[in-house]
Parts: sequence; C-alpha cells; structure tokens
Amino acid sequence: MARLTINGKSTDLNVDPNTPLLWALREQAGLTGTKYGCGIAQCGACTVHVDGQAVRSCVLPVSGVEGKQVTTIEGLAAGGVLHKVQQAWLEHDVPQCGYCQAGMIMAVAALLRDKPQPTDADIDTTITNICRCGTFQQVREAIHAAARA
Amino acid sequence: MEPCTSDDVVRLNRRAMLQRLGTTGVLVALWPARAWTMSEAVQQAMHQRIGTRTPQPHGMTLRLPPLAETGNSVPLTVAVDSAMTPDDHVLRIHVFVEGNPEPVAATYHLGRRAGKAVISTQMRLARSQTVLALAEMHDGSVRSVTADIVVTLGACVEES
Amino acid sequence: MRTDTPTINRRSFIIGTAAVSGGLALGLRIPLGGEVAHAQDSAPEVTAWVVIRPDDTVVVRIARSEMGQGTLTGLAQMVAEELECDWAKVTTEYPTPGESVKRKRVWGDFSTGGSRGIRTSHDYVRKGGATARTMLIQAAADAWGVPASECKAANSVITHQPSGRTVTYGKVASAAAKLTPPADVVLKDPQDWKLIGKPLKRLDTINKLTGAQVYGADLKLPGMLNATIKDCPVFGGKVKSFETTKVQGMPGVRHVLQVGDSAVAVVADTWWQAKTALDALPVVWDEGPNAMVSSATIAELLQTGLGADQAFVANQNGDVKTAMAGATKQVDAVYAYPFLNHAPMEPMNATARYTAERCEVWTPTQNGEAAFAATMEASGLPADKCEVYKIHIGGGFGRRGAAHDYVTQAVLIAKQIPGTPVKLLWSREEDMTHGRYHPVTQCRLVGAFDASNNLTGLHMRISGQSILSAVRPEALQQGRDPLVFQGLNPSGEFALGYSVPNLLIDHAMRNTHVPPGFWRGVNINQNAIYLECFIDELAHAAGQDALEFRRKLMSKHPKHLAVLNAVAERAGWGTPAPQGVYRGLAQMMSFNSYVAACAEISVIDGNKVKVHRIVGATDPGYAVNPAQIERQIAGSFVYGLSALFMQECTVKDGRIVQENFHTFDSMRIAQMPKVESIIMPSGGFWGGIGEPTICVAAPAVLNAFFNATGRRIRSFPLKHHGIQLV
Repeated sequence: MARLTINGKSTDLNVDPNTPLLWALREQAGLTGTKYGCGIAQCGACTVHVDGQAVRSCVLPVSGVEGKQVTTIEGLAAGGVLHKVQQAWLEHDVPQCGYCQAGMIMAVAALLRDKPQPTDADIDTTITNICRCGTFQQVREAIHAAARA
Repeated sequence: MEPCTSDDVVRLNRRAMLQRLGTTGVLVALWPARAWTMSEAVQQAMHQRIGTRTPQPHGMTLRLPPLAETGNSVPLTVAVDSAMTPDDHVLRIHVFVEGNPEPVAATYHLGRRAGKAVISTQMRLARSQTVLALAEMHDGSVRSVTADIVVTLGACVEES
Repeated sequence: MRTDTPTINRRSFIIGTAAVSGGLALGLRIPLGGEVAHAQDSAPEVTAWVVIRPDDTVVVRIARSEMGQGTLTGLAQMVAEELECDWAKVTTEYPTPGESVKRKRVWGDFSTGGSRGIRTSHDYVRKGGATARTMLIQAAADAWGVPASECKAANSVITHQPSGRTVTYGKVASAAAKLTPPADVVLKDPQDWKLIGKPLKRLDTINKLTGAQVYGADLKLPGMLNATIKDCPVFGGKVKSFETTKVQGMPGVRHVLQVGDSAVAVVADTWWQAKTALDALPVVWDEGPNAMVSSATIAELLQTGLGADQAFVANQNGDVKTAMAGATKQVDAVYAYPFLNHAPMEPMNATARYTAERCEVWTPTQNGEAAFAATMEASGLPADKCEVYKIHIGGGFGRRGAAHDYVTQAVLIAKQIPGTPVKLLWSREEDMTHGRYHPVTQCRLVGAFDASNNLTGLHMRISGQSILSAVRPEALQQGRDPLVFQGLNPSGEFALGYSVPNLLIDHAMRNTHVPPGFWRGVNINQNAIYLECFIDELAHAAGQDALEFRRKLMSKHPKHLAVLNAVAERAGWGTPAPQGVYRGLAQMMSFNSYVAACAEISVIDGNKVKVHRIVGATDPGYAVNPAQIERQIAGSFVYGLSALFMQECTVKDGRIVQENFHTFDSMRIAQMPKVESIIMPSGGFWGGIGEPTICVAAPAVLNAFFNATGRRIRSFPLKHHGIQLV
C-alpha cells in the first residue's frame, strides 16, 4: 500500500512500492494522461511535478514520492480553468499527434514556475522532451506567449 | 498505377461490355444486377472450359472475406445447391481470379460420388478484384456466382 | 472508459462547440454486454458523410486516420465547405470498417499513407457535403412549398430569398435524410472557397492538452487484462521453449502464453506486472539461419549490386556508356543509407476481445480496413462477427499502415483467454527491434562532363532493399520494384526534375531478412540525398554555382524549378551570407508535390553543426489548410534531420541493435532550426503534404556542410563521422 497525494488528493494505492510512479499513476490511480514513451527517462513523455519540480516518473519508484505532492497533467488546470501553458498551446495549435504533449506541457509549466520569462537559451537547456511529430517551432512560440500572458 | 478509390470494382457500361464479347442480349440475362468487366483473360479461360454455354447466376454461393490484409492466403468456399445424386450433380467447379497472373485459379472435379458440392481452399489473391466461380452440372448447364474482395495492403502501397 | 471532457471555463477563451465536445471523442463504441454508447444513434444521417443533430451540430464521418498530420481537420474542412455549415459546429466521427463493409464500402478507402488522405478523397468527400447541402435545401423548400432554386444555404441556415424565411439545418435534417440523394452535384470553384485554403485551427486539440485524449495505450475496458510480448529477436526465428513456472507466481501474473510460433507474452493485472514478469521469463529461441546476418554482411551484399550487370531500369535516355567513354571528366561517388525505425512516441498496441461469436479490436491504425482484415484472419471469424474501433494514433509515420502484426498478436492472445479483453502494449525495446524498417541501400553515381563542363551523362545505380518484395510481391513489375525510384522517374507523381542527355537510373535488388516498411517518405529520403548531394558534387566539379548548375538542367521542369527558385530567393542565395553561415539547396518531386529547401548552417570546431534556418517551399497544387502545411513542413524536417544526424538501426547476430532512444536519438527543441514555409499551390492538381518535404532538409544541410567545411559526407548518420547537431 502506498499513500500518495495526487493532484491535491490523498490516495491509497494498492501497489508494490518499487513500481515506477508512471505506472502507479496510469494503472492503480487510473490517470492515463501521463504517457509511457521509453521507460528510461530519455523522452520526457512521463513528466509530472513532484513538489512542483518536473520529474520523469518512469524511473521514480512510488516509494520515492510518499509524503510529496504529485501533480499530473490532469491536475494542471485548476478549478476548470486551463493553465496558461495549456491556453497558449490551444491558441498556437501546438499538438500534432499529441502523445508527447502532456509531458511537454508539464515540463514547460515547471520551467515557467522557475523562470517566468525564459530566454530561448533557458528553453533549450530545460526542455529536452522528444517529439517525433516535430512540434518544436510551435512549442517555442507558445512558451513565449504563455510567458507574456 | 491508379490511386485507390472507392470504385475498386470497375463499372463498364453495358454497351461496351456487349461489344467486347461480341454478343447482344445474352449478357443481360447473365449478369442482371451487376455490371462487371470480365477481363479478356478470364473470358477466354471461361470459354475454353465451357465452350459456348452461357452460365446462369443461380444455385451456388461463393464465400470470401470482404477484406484481406495481404491477399497471400485467403479462405474461399464455393457451394453448389445440388443433392449430388445420379440425377442432379456437379461435374466440375472452376474458380477464376482475374487479378492473378494466371486467370484460372483452380478446377475441382467432383462427380456424383463426391457427396457434397462444396469446395474450400486458401487462395492467393494478388489484389482487390472480383472472383468468379462456375459449376458445370451433369446436364450440361453451367451456373455462376461472383464475389468481391478488397486487399487492404494494396490500398496502403503508394505506386508511381 | 474515459468519455468525459474536463469542465472548461468559457471566460478564459473562446473555442468552438466542436472542441468542447472533444472533436474526435465520438465513434468509440464499447459494446460489451450489447449496449452501444453511440452519440449519433438518434441523429439523422443526411448522407453517409454528414450527420446533423437537432442542435445543428454537424458530425463529419472521416474514413482516413488522423495521426497528427491534420488530415482529419482538412477532410472536415472540405466537407463543410460544400455543406455550407457553421464551422464552429463541426465535429467528426470515425465510422468503423465493419460498418463500411456492411454498407458496401460506402466510406471508400480507409488507408492513410503515401500522403494520400486528402488528395485521393477530396472529390468524393466534397460531393458528400454538396449532396447533403442539396438535400437539406430541398427539405426546407418542400416544407415551405417553394422551389429549391429560391433557397440558399450558408452557415447552417437555409434562407428562402424572396420571403426571407429561414430555418436551421438541425430542423430539416430528418426530412432531408429521407430524400433521394441527387445523382449529380456541382462542386464549388476553388476561387469561391471560404474554408478550404484557410489556416483553421485543428478540431482535435483540447483533449491532448488536458490528458483526456485516449490513446490505444490508455484504453480501459471492464475486466481487461494487460499484456506485453517478446517476438524472436532474430527476424524469422521461432520460440523453442520458455519456463512458465519461473514467473507464474509473480504478482498479478495471469497467463504466460506462446503467440504464434515466434513470440511469448505475459498477461497480468497491470502492464507493469506483465513487463516485470516477461523480463524475468527464461525463453529459448530457435534463431534460425538469419542469426548469422550483420550490418557488415549486409553492406557486402549491397556492394555486389553497385557494379552488377543485372539491374532494373527506371529512367533512361540516350546512351550513358558512350557518354562516359567520351567524357572529359568524370565524377564518381558511392553513398549509403541505413535502416531506420519509425519510433513513434506511442509504442505498438492493440486491445482485443475474442469469443467464438465475436472478435473486437481497438487499435491505433492508419488503415481501419487492414486492421479489420487482420482481425478476421487472426480470429478465423467472418466479417459480420468482427469489428475494429479506430483509436487516436500517437504517431504513425507509416508503421501503422501496412503491417498489423500487433493486431494479429492481440487477437491470438485474446483467443487463448476467450471473453476477456486484453490490451497488448509493446515495450519501447520491442518496438525498436520489431519494426518495419526504412530499407537499406547504397548508391553509385557517375557523372560525365564534356570539355566545356556540360553534364553529358549521369548513371545512378541503386543497390539495395525493395519494400514491395517483402510486403507486396504481386505489385512487382516483372520483378522490378517501382517504389525504389521515387523522385527519379521520367514522369508521374515522383518525377525527376532534371533533363540529362544521357541518363540511366537503375536498381540492383538486394534484399535482407530485416523486414522493410514504409517509413515517412519511403524512398525519397535516400534518393534525395543521393541525387541532390551528387548534383552539388557535379556543380562543384564543374566550378559552377549549385543553383545555376541545376537551373541549366531544369528548363523542362518548371514546377520543380519554381519551388527551387522560391527558396533560393527567400534565403538570399547569391547574396553574401552572414559571417560563418553557409547555405545548401535541394529539390525533389514526390507524392505529386514539388518541394525544395535551402538550409543555412554554421559549423563550429569543424564538427558541431548549428542549423539556423531552413526555408522550405511546397507546391501541392491546392493547399487545404496552410497552418497545418507549415506544421507538416517543419515537423517533417525534424523527422528527416533526426535521421540524418542521429539514427541508424544496425544488425548484429541477426538482431536489431538499437533498443531505445539512448542509442536511437531524436531531435530536441534546442536543435530545432527556424523553419520558414513557402506554400505556393499552382492549382490544377492535388499533391500530398505529410511526406514530400521530409526529403529535402537532409541534402540541403549536407550541401551546406560541404560549403562550410569542404567535407563531403556520403554515409549516415552523421554521428558516425563525429558530427553533431547542436
């Protein structure tokens, strides 16, 4: 049994504590917005926030987040209002297939929390998610737009 | 090659079809509901086997899946409505596959001791097409049936 | 099963109804227990393409598959254009292939590949919209007792012009559905288009931002188990034995199964439990003779084709032998291009439920009918007992179009546990090593010059793998694979853009055991590098500017030339580049579109390449959604440049070596160049968008690299030459 706080709610999950957080979220908690892309923290599709920091959940065991606040893509929009990153993504029509986008959005939301006005260099070093559809041009535009919002 | 469209079965107007076969009127009875271009290869192969007899579309069924992924091995069943008695039996069943390099896929010799006028087999169907089966009856009459199959991998292949 | 959408505060932004209702959320049916959760049950189908609800929502049926390329929105635009409906009320639905077959393929071709989705369906989907509009108008006119000719439709409202009476589509849809469709409809002239050609926002975005979008990997059905699989690591090998007892007691494990003759799967309560157990399962493989194959043996095989006597010819004119013999100068080069994996972000998956009475599959697929055919074949059940539900795709790129191995596997697993739905999701490692690979080839090019530096002859000999030989041998033309020559043909959708007095382009077929498939662009990726880099080599040997050299060969190819000129002009070719910036050009025609690129790069320390900007141009005849086209151009450059710099699938002991993104990398945002798109539709034909531009970024960058460093690279990826993309 593991007690996690996910998107502001305390939840008991019947899960082996060695299970990666990614799979506990997707399977035991039923939150499938966080995606499996590689399982070895290379692609970023599994990015969630742990105490506000962007973390790749595919290599983080559940035991590592007990007592911490976990935020997933499902919890990003607060009270039915889209987060400004989601809003910018919508205005700039960013996603193509969309599979990598939850992780991308979570990584960007964390960046903007740390650096509300990121430079292109900040974006380059912090956002390392893989996107096979290649939405990067729109991602960059939308990050700057969200920063201005 | 032509791109894939929903018109996989080519529709030929009746006049052109009649001209092709050099007959008039007969074909109207043959293929009442369907306009289907029978390729020349299939026509020739058909006439080689049944001579000048005209097949009537009744009394037999052809089961084929409507879609096949690659066409490499497609299950096909032909069944003729016949008691297979001395007075009513099927001599031969022919299957014609126009899209294959050889238009005649198979001929099955039955005869009255066969017991059932059903043949089941796996066939290689090179592309989307119409398959034709004929049954030669003991009294010299010939029956026919057709079925269409779409080979979906064909639809995926871009061809210049 | 997630069908809800999150509540959205409308004050935050303005979006259309279509987005709120989830765009593509519809069409997912979960008919377990017989009930069908189908939103359109009560709404009338005016034509097979158009359903209209009483509240005026328009549901457009889409037969092709959306995989990020924007085809869903583009097709809906075309139907809506002719339908004259309110775009803000448009949503979409995927009819199932089983329904289509029952209705004699009323929705036509489901296949989405070859950049065909819009260009091979535009006329009949537009007719579907026009037919529906005509019937709606007629229904309104009948209700008013007036001639239809006095009525006009716009924005989902029909107006009787003389009297000013109006009625909305939703109110007359039921009556319209009962009318006989007109035999013929006239489509709008392109200059009257109001929706087609506009950069409209996609219909399927909102759920992708909130985690609500369900992908195949996310599907949840009542009573569902999870499975993962290992197929023999050597293609063509088989399972010899496996020790179920070693893992059957592990948490959550329900079944350990052989699947076909070459794979083993574990079925468990959760995917993580299945994967953990499968990783621990001892399996002995009968690897077969292909275990001796390696990249080195494959390269040796390809080399034998470079000078072979026997080859299939695609394009020839004049007499290349004589031209070579009489040449004042010759340029001779050998290039090589590797196997590549598609590596979509979502690994292969399919969910299946089998009973003797019914087999249903839920899967991301680029071809619903092919998935349906695979379901019938694997289950052994007839069409009326099978169904496939298309799920939103997390990246296709060609992997999910032709091969449906994951569907076959899911059905074969489900058959062993009848009645229980099972979701089969491949690990990334399985996906990397069991792909359908971009074919491997080498190419020898020889160019001949006369004394005045005119190009008098060109021989391009491709040696290597044929996709059709493996995937559709019956499409070979007396043994020749026509797809090998994409971009190099004398005419057609993949026509060469150069005239050379003595030309020979031929192919020595050398196949391998590595299964080939259609990787985005298919064969234009290597053909564009081979041709466009070599043309630069020729220009250099002749002491001529790369653009001028090309122009001299293109007077008979005006559309190829137009896109090339467009990128050259925009990039400032011929004017001095900023300090340290070098330019390179490339052009090719494929999938009926003409495209070109000019890349601007800098090279640091001789081996770190910064691509500053790529100007890309496309002439696709008509441009349905320019915003989507821009995204496809830029996105295709990411796919193509990732391959150029970082990607290769090598073979050792018959197996693919690269198992994950750490050895098969992909571009990150830091490396992304600025992409400027020139969309220049010249009208009169329909060309594709998803693929054509992918092939020109790599040769443009390579040509710029030569201009920067004097180094001509002829084998890929560049990381093998110590060259990095920064």
